[in-house]
Amino acid sequence: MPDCLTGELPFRLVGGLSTGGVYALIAIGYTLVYGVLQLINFAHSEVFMSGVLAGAVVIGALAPDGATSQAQGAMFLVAALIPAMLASGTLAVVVERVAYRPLRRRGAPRLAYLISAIGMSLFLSYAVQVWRGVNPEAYPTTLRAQAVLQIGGVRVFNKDLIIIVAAIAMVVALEAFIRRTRTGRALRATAQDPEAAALMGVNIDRIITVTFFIGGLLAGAAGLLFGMAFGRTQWNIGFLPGIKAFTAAVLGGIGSIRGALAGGLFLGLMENVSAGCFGTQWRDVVAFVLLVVVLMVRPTGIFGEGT
Amino acid sequence: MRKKRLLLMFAALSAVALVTGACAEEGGGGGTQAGECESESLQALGATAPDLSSKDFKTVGFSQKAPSVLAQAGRTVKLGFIGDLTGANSNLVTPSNEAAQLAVKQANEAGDLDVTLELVSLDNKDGGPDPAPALAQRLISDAAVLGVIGPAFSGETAVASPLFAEAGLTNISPSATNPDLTTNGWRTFFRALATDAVQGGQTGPLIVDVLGCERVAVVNDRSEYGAGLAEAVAASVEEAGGEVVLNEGVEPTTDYTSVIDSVLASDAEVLYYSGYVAQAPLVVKQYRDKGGEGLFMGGDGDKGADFIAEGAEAAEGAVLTCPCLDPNASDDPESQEFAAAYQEEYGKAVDIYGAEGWDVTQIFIAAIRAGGANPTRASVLEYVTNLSDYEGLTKTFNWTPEHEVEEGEITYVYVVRDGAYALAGRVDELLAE
Repeated sequence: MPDCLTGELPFRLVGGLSTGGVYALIAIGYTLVYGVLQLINFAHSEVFMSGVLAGAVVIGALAPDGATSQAQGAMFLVAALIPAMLASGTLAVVVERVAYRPLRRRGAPRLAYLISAIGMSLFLSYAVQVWRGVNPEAYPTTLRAQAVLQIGGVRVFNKDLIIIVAAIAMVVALEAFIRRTRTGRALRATAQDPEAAALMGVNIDRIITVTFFIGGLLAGAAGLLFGMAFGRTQWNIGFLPGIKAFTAAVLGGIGSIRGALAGGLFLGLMENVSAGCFGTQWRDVVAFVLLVVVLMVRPTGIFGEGT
Repeated sequence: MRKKRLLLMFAALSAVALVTGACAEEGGGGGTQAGECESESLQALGATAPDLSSKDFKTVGFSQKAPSVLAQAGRTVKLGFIGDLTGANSNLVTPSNEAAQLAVKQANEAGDLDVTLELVSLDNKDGGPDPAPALAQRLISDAAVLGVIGPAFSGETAVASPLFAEAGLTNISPSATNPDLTTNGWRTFFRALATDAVQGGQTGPLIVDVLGCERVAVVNDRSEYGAGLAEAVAASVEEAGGEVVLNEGVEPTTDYTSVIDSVLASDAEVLYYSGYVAQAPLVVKQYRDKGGEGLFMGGDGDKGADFIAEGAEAAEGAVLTCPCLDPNASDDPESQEFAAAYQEEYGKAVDIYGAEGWDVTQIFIAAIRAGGANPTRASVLEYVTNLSDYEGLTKTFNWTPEHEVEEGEITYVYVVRDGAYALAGRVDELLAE
């Protein structure tokens, strides 16, 4: 047995789950929108980026020099969470209004949405480039590294734990919202059959706005966690996580919320474990070979299509 | 079904966009971090910042003559500069560009040239080798350009220098350190500092004999510079009796989780990151965040102001090597004079490669001065080629037949202490101690 599957495995699981947690939160934005509109919102990576940036701006305003203690750092993170989520949520709604709704009104073909999405994505990232400059900015320091758990010889660090717990908690909360509330039911109805839902009195436009907003909220939270963990913000920071999260959504079964969580965590794990087995250069290769294999066996992803 | 096929296609496209393949070496082992070897064993040589209050700014410059810029009747000749003036690595480039501007300004003010000098700085915009040929072409097609300072990084230098060689336009890089650059027979290309082969070759003894560390993880950014330096470092660590427990390349990214997990699993005492300053602070921060307690080391590419600014406390104690002289930490009066002039002109301390950029520009100015009222590309090339015992700030310039600096095998060691680079000495001197 190679080392990567024995001694160091538990240790790699933690890092993989933590990266995967961020993918999962972003993936939900793709999956929700796809579930309702059968549309890939490629501007979602910029919605995520706005969350990273909003967190940095808020924490930077609260403490230009970073937190002086762990308690203060935690407080900054909590304080920045709502603004980051709202910034991304609002941006997602604006994207829908500007880039998609006019097309929907005119019954544009699918391809037009794709182009509109790509245009929106480029516009947003370059707008941020103009605003903040080309150079990366350091994320203000919040929490300092601290081992909080010891599981069988593996130290789990605070940031990893926060991401894993936050990702799972948010997905559970979202599931509950979709299953239990009126709006959630309307959302499911719209996903199943928009015309029938409209006939039953569901305001489709409102539901679509809500869908984008929720996806944006979670992407904003992901952005804050991403900034906390990896310590940087930049105009193009959303690109790679965006693609990875889209992959995670497809892997888990696009349209499925649980699928997005499973796909995100699975992708993160596979990346990190394969990096140990084959070297870091191979992590994306292995992750995507795996994606193709999963899609060959289950073309609709692990959890299949549907909300 | 069409929908699904479309999705598969997207996935495949994403895969193509992301895939990076190469052979890999394995990082094995498990367990926890060792942290016996430390940068504490390096004693800083002196204060890091110069005492500027004691400097008389008025005497700065190479000539004390009264300015007579307006009186000059000669034609305008230009010097070119190519490098990342903006972008994530620009803090490695702007100091040499600003030093060149300062040198040109002083030369014009001194008024002892028969021509008026102008610096044409072209921005490579963090583009790696791609934009450089077009920038080189712009300088070549401007007949008034007689010499080029740069390009700044190895990747750009590799693609721009053959064009300069064809055009007979001299280019001297103040910062490109890939050893292979001088093996191409470009007669117009010169290099003003030691190569990565020298720096890498001295890093092994530094790690093993001076710092007393053994297990080294080398991570590079797979750039022309980073991969080359990593190879040299790994070879010299093995040769010095240390062990390279991990040697991997990771293209610049934001999330270094995987490679850092590999480093931690390899139980390395030293993490050597061979790349650029845009990435180095992320690597060191994420390494510390995951509980990495080993010594962080890097080469000149990591040693920008941003490494400390962004790396903050994670960067403390890091040991960086550089073939470059930090004039702020030098006790040579001319270096101090330059540091003070730079500080006055730009309101900040001169940073990495500033002194090298200054030296290169002064060599060109001397070449143009030697050409009298009518310097040409040929006369500049001839002057630079035959340069003999030219006393620069950073070293005495004589070229080897390959156009490297003769006896220029110098690697300085810097330690990050209290948010500043402290000069710990030259590797050869530290080894002799």
